[in-house]
Amino acid sequence: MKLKDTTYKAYSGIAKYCRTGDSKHIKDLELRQDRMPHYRRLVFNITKNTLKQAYPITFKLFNNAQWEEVVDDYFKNHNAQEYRIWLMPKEFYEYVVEKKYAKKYNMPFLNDLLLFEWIEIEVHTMEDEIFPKIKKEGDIWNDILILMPEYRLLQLEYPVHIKQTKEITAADKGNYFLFSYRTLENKSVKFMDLSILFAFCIEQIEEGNTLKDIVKQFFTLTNSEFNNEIKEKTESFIKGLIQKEVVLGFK
Amino acid sequence: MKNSKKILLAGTVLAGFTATSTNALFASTDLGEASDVRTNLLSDFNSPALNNDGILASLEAKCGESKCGEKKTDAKAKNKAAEHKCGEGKCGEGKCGEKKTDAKAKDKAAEHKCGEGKCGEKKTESKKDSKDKAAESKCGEGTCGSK
Repeated sequence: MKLKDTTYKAYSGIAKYCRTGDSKHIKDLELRQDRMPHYRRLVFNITKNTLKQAYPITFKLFNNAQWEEVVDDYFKNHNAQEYRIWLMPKEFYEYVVEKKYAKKYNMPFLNDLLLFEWIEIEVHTMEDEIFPKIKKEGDIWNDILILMPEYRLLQLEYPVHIKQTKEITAADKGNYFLFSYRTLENKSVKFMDLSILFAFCIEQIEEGNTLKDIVKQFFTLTNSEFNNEIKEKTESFIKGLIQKEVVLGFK
Repeated sequence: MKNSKKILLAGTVLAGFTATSTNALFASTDLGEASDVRTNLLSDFNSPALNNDGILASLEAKCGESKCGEKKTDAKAKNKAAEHKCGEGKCGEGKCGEKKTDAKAKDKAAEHKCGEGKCGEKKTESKKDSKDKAAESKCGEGTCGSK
């Protein structure tokens, strides 16, 4: 429903005032001007607390001045679009990436860290997905495997999910694959650190390829040789996923 | 850095991939619950050599509790994590493990204006408001008992 112009103007004015503290945005509005600073303080506190809770590792990594600077900058200058408070930290992550704070603070892993912290919220709170119909029995190598739909697969440059930030160095830069899923059992979020082969398997299973084709494709792309050890370990990985209910069954 | 179900590995990473060690190909570590991972990463005495169990064991050794304490520590760590972030802390909805739907979040968001989401705030504000109103009003217009 479209808002009335006057309502929209009032909302925008209050929002701008809350973000900047500049009373020119509200001076023409019929409201108690003396109460507005308190309203602004409350809104700002909620923003700060939400971000602090969403990014506890980043919060710990930054010194006070850095945290204040980033949050103030975001609050003041980012034109927030999301009306759902739980999604607000995602816009914060995008803002920090856009404003290149990783470079400014000489923290090359910062963007990865924020994404890693955000993904926990996203997976936990994301909308329930529709689970496909599956067969419980099938051939791991030749039948199409069906993944549970409530997951995210991330490719990271720094091992922010397995190392404390103070231990991460430039030498750690590489390719890391983080699998994050919501368990069927109690809807908690779990993480797995995957090798490139297994991340590739997940991605290709999602595409509807059989494990046999996936592995074949992997070794063609990498010019490596397929052997029994690889077969056994890949099979064992998939069986593990079946046990964890990440692979639900067969098409 | 990509965030999706499809991260185009084949086109990007695999092109430059050389298998220096076959073991690296099979590395897959179950990191466990997100809250435990976070607790470990935030912990000062953590090191990569310690996994979740290792940390819990070291806590165990520190507090001197034996077998029965183990479970306690585990529960403690979990509770602590839950306090920090585990869904509830982050979005302010429901208990950890409770099923949350976007629709639910939508409803909540719809109910509250920006910044009014916190329980109690609106109440306080309106309380304050009514106090002020009572103070402003002429005698007899306030609520019963108000000055």
